Amino acid sequence: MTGLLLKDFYTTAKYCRSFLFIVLVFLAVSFFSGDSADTFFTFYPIILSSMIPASLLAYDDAEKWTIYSQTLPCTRAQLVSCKYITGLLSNLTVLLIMAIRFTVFSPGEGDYLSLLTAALIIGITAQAVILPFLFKFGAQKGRIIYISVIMLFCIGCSSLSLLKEIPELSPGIGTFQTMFVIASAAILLYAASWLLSIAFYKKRQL
Amino acid sequence: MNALEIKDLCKSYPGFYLDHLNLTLPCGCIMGLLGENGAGKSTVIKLILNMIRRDSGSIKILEKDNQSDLRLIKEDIGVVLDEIGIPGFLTAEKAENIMRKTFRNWDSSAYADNLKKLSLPKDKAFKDFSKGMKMKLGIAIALSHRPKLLILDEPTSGLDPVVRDEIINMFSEFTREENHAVLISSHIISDLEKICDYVAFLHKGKLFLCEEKDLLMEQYGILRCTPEQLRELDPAAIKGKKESAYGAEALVLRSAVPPYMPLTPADLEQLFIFMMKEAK
Amino acid sequence: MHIFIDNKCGAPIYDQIYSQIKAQIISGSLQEDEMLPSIRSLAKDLRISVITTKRAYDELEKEGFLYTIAGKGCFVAPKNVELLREENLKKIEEYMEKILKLAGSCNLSRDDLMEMFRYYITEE
Repeated sequence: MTGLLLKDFYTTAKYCRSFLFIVLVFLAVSFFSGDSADTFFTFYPIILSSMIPASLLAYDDAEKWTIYSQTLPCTRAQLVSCKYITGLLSNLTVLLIMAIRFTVFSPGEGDYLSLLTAALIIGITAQAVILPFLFKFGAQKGRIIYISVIMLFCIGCSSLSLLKEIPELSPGIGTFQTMFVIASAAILLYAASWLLSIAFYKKRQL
Repeated sequence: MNALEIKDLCKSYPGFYLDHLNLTLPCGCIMGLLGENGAGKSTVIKLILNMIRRDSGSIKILEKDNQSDLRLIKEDIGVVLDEIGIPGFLTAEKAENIMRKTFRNWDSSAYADNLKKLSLPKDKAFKDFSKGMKMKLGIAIALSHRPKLLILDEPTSGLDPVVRDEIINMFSEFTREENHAVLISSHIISDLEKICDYVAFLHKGKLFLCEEKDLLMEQYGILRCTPEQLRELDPAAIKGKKESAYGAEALVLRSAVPPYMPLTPADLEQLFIFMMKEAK
Repeated sequence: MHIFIDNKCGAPIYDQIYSQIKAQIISGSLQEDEMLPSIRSLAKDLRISVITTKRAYDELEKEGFLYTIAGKGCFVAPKNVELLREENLKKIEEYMEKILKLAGSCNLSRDDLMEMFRYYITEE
């Protein structure tokens, strides 16, 4: 699987450089915008990095790597896992950058641990939700189905007025226990999504 | 030992049915798979690689069931499909870094050799390769991890005749070792004629014939005569014919033709075209 | 050893190999106990099927022109004069049969045929 990870690393380095650039720009801008915007400047980069596995899958399909990889000695499970691992690594990289920014440049100001945990939750949940769709249906169809599902979810949520509460998230998000529970749930969701994607991809006809 | 054993393989799609295919490729041999477009050649190859699920039947690659440990089997097979899906920004050198970590038996010196033999640049991006060069890189990679079986789907399409000849010879040389084997599917029948030991004709999902190539060529000949003379022959011996205002041309079994009627040898392409036209 | 394969002449390839090797053994250009190329390397060098070279070698072995030592290869068998004479007699009979067939197809009488043959003998 090292070979597969290397290929994803090469692809990320080539095509996702702009993401890193944006993250660094946000880092710079966030110095000047005060605490209230920290949420945005933390969440947006993590949303970007959470999209990396999906982008990689789209490139794989476009460049016919999906077909070519069937000629190489790797299992479908390995092909799935390297996307999940790459996703985790890209999220952790952004979190690390944010963590350094908070601890080195504004230590002791606000509950950054909660913020980072929330960012981690968002990052891995986004990947956990979208990746099974992409592995089951392919990058093109999968994205369309995913967007439809998200839209239905948002429509459903707004009709229950749940969406109103999300923009009010601030560094003091909740108690440690709540965060811990949600984070554990997110991690379990990620693991379940990983296994589900493997099951889907094993059945996929290429 | 058999490099490939396909028994009663079935797969159905809307409008297509692969009907109980039986094919055996012994080690040390090269088998050519011929068929019109849509005959099922690529389907068979995808089934061998388990890219698509078979409906029924069994496939054994190097004596191992292809669904039980395909990852290990793939270490020993070199595959070239009609599209080489290497990411466009990779160079031959970067591709090697990936392959070295993917194949257990990757042979760097063989790769360097193959790149040189095929005149491929080490540091040009794959997207800037011509179609022929892309194919050649796919072939170079497939040959550079000490495979025992080569599975090739149209590996010489898009290549000029000189390069095709070189590559076909590389495939032929591959079976100088008696535990190596090659399965090659191609529309370029003259290439197959050069190197195959066995030829298999697929037609609408059925195996039309599978025979030793030289035996096939010995059994048949092309007869050019008048339509009346043609009618004198046993109809069962005529495997295909073309009639024009100037006479008739037919593919016939040599054994059924009297010695005074001149026969010319049929090449594999003529054999195939006559038979397929007749089979329609 | 020189072998030339003609794809266009209609004679089976295994037969061409068989005949050429046999002729070289009979003529002596292939010496007794000389090692012949392996079935596989001959096939690859001549660019023909391995099955065909094997067939040619099997025929030659069956008729006593070569012998195989497992693990080592194929070697030219010692010349058997009787065998050679038999070979040539067989060939003459084959040709005679062919002549009779052709004569029949163009309605040549036995007497005409004998006349033609006598003509040839005296020409020599």
